[in-house]
Amino acid sequence: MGALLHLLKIEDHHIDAVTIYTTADRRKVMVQGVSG
Amino acid sequence: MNADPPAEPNTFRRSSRFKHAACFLLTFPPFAGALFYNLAMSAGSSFEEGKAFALIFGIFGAVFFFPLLIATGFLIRWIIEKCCGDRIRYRTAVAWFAHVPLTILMFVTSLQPTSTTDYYRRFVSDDVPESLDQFQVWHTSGFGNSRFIVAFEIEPTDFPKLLTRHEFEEADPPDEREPLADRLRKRDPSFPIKPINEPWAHCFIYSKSKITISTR
Repeated sequence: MGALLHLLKIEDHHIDAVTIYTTADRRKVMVQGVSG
Repeated sequence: MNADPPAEPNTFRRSSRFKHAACFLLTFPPFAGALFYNLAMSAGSSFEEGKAFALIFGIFGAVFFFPLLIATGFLIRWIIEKCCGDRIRYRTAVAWFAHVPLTILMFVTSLQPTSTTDYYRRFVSDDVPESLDQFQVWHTSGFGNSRFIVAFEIEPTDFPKLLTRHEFEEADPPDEREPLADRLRKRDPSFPIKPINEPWAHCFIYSKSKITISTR
């Protein structure tokens, strides 16, 4: 159903926590998050 | 003139039951399969990641959603027959197969790969930098929670675009806890987020509850 909702452009941005890691030059990035 | 004798009521009932049973066997397995595959592909970055989620919610969906669709099919048949003023041909099949387009749509949409920009908008920010490159993604949904990791490269001037969706606070010094990707890579060396050969120097944190983030 998620893919179907995605096709219909019904998206959920509900995210509870996010951590962004980046290198000293801010060129390489890793984003991790949890929801629910 | 010899008219055909009327069918025995029991014979008619048996015939009707057989038709319904045949329709059930022809429609339920494809529906359940499409639902399971769709859930698995949307709940994880791979079928393996999403299959546990799909198994539980697929059973729930099949048990509750399928009868609803069939009831809708019978309602559609009733409306058609009301409009026509007569019984339609293949009326049993019409009721049972009315939802087949939805089943096909569910299956086809799960085959379409999600694009890099779609993943970026879903997990990071609406403003996708043109310099976005080397994008990697992993996500999984469990019971009541989901986790994701995306890794990529951008031009340093685009970095502020990452911080637009939430109110981030820079952790200074950077969060010393091991990133989730590193922990998962220790469990599974084939984990799709590949390591980089330099240390993480900055760390930005957003927490809706303002409680320490735990992705363990």
